[in-house]
Amino acid sequence: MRVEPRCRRKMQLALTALAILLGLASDEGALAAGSATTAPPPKSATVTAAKSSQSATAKPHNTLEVLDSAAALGVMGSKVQGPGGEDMGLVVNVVIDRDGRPRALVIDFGGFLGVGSRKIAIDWRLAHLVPGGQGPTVLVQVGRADLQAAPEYDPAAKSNKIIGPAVVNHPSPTDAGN
Amino acid sequence: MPRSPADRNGAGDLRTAGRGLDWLNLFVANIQTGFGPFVSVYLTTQGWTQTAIGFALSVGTVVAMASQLPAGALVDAARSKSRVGLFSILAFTASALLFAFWPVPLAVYGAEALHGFSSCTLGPVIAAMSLAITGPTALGLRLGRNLRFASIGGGVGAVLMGTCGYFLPESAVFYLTAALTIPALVALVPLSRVGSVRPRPVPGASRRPAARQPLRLVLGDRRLLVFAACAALFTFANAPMLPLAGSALTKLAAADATVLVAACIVLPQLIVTVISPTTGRLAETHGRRLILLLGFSMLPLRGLLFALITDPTLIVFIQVFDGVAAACFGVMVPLVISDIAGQSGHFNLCLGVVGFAIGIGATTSTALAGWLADEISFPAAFAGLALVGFIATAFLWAAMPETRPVDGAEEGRPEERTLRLAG
Repeated sequence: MRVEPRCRRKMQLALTALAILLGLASDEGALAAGSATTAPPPKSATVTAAKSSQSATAKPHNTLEVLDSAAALGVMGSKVQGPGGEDMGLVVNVVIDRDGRPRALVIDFGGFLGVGSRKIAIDWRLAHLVPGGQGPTVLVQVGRADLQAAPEYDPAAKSNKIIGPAVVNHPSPTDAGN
Repeated sequence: MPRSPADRNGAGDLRTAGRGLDWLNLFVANIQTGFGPFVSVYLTTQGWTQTAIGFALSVGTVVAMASQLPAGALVDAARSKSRVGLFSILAFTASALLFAFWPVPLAVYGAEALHGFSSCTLGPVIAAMSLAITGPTALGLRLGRNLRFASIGGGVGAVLMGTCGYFLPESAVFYLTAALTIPALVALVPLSRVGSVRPRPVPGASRRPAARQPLRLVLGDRRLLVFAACAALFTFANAPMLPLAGSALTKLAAADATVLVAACIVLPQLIVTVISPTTGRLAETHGRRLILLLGFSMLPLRGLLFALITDPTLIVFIQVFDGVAAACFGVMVPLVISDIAGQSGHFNLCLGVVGFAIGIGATTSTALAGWLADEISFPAAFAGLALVGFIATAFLWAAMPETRPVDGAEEGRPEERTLRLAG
């Protein structure tokens, strides 16, 4: 459903791209800036790292911590699997709240070769990481039927509905908006 | 049967050139599948944010839009069309390899730009070589055949790359795309001499390959402007329908959504494969307006059906009308432009004008359709697109004249030419 903000952003981006291409001489800096924002998330610093480092923030300089990649990994672009190992799409974003705690995982679900996929947010507590051979996989405790019923996640909207933990006798997504 | 000297050694050459064109259309469509919406899936797996992906894709869109006219003019000016084709396909190879090896921003922008520009040269090159091979009177048949092979290529490409992306790492799709440029280059070999020769004069026809007409006269042709407007409206209504239907299917269907969306992509290709030679032939015998009206009228019909029907399987079957529309539109764009500007020396530039109009239609409509689907509902978005499709059809009916050259109306000659080509 919520396709519009993405399209609007696309058009804005198209204009930005045009501006950059026109100012060919000065685009080195702009492209470099673009690359800084588009770089994949740092290899070790994930949201779980933020949790443990909060206690150490009082010091004038930050310490270096060891993060075992078997325990925590960056998940942008990771494959998502359902309870039965079925393909549930890819992780496209992580939603965090004001305290820096992760709240939801946004996944791009469904479609074929990029046509007809939808972005759906799932409560963070339903997801966990399985480091694997071909990059990490995220397991989510959500059935495909729940994914289908969920509304599309829209970062521009005032509030969003995300798929929350299962409730007995009530398998439909619960409202966890804020 | 009068044969010009060029034909004596040309009959065999013409046949192999026609075969080359068949395969070229097939493999180019194959390759283009790899550069489609799959790019955003691939970049997502590479850890790209959606914003960054949107930016990279719009680099491709902007370059493609900006290069429509220059690319057309370039192909017009090029003595050897096949050489332009060679460089365009090599640019595809480079683009695919950039995606596969360096999914980092600057390389991806470069790959998108390369692909955007060479798409704009390759389309006109294929049309120009078709015109050079068949001459203006039998072009419809050739273009129908082109589209048939392009659809086979598109359908096979979707299945091939879908399978590849499912079982192998995502980058494998781009290795496959790069590998498919090799047979495309081979297909170009028998076409190497086409395009360096002028289109053969039509026997008994008054129109000769004349000197270049003034550019202002060609671009100011009312038929060109009306047709470009029609093409923009057609694309405006047409472009968002498949993605919207795909999203609707993902929402409606149970576990089979992926298969159904795949069917939505492949079914129209099958339809085009079956009927595009017929639309090409009918355009030669019964005129362009009939085929154009048939193709355009599919839009309101399809939009309304999408708006009313929620059964997933039936949604797939609505895509039959997409195939009919594509078979008509895909043949008519180069054919009508050939009618208008085929002998003017600005054929490819005029194709660029229509390509630009199509680009405007495609980029503006996704925003509107998305907004309607978002703010109201899927049916509202489809109804809106149906309305635009209806306006497009009405405008076409009211404003677009028949462009079929009177000389080409003689019976027999088109068929005779195809026998040579097909045999």
